Amino acid sequence: MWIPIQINENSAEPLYHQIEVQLRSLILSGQVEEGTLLPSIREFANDLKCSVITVRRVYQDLESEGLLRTKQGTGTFVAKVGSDERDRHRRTAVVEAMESAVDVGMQVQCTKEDLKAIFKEVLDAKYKG
Amino acid sequence: MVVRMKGIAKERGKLQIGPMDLDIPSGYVTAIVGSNGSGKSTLMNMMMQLVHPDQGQIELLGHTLAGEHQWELKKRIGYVMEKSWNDQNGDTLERIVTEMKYWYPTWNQALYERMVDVFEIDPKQRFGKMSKGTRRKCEFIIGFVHEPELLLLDEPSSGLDPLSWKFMLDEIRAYMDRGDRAVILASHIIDEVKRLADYVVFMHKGKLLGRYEKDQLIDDWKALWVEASPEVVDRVSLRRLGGVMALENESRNVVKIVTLDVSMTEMALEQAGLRVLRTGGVELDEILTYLIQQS
Repeated sequence: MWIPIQINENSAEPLYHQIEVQLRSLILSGQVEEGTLLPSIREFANDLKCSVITVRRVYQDLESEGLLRTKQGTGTFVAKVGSDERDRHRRTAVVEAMESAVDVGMQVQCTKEDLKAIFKEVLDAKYKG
Repeated sequence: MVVRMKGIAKERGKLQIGPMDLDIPSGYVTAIVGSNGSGKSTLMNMMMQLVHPDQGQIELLGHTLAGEHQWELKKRIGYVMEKSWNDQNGDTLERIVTEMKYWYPTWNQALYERMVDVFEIDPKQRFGKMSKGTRRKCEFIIGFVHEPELLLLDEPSSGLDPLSWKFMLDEIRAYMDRGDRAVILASHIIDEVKRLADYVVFMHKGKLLGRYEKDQLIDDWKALWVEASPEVVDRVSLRRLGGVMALENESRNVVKIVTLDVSMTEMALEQAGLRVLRTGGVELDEILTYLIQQS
């Protein structure tokens, strides 16, 4: 199966971290469903053009977070995720996106009032009708 | 470790290879990267006992190589060489396979048949009449289909069309998944290395520059574009910051720094109050160039 994860080699963020963040998001948002069998470590590594060392680390980290489950001889599956955790993740995703937007605003010297006005404008436009 | 080399040295004409120590781990794909003439093929030939080192010791799959050919050991290794044997021109895949089946106890007939099918080979065709790519596919089949514990590939994608290369990658991947194996691949083609390798060994003019985890190199080596107007900072001083390998003037106010340790350099830049405008990756062949310059 193909999992939509994109590595950015230009980013200062380590590869394993980039993959973890994206895979965690896919699992918590439900895009990759509970019970899904993930690709073998080497298959995933080939697809992403990274090493098995990195993929193994990702699978291990997410397993210790309770998001993945490994069955000896069969493979690694997506575990059941509680609804509390899903909600927390949704909130965190939005908070992070807003923090990035504020960073951009600060870089171009916007004031707090400027940003509030821009935010209201965008919000109204998106939630129109 | 699948291969252990200690104090290995070999003289090949003007090229002095080693002395060097090198360990290759089992369960992973290790790429030996260097330009033609770096000594990587000689290294592979020594592992196959086609060439003997002038000095030092090689241990392969736990056995010390000692002059005489160890045939039982050879049955556990597969080798796909860079150049084809001219004296095999009159041969066919079918005939060679008839012999090999008896020689290799781990010969996998089903795998052989599937590969002949996937690669669209005519086993009755003479090697001398095949295109370079087709012949290469046959050589791969011959080296691979007895499911060796150690697979040595010398420039595997050479002469292959992209689709065949993709099939070969799939087969190598499936082979690694099937057991505790190792692949050592000699290459100067970065895409091959990126797709396959877990570890990278850099060689230049016979010298070993180091063994690295491929992803560690990709994570640590970055290009940083830094705001550095001459009124604010003396660019020469930037060279002395931790991790910096090279400095280039991009424009009046921007300098490009290449670092082998992005965390270290970013921290030093932050302490110096300098802003990073953009980050970029550094390709493996560029990394090799910087390591060569440094050595």
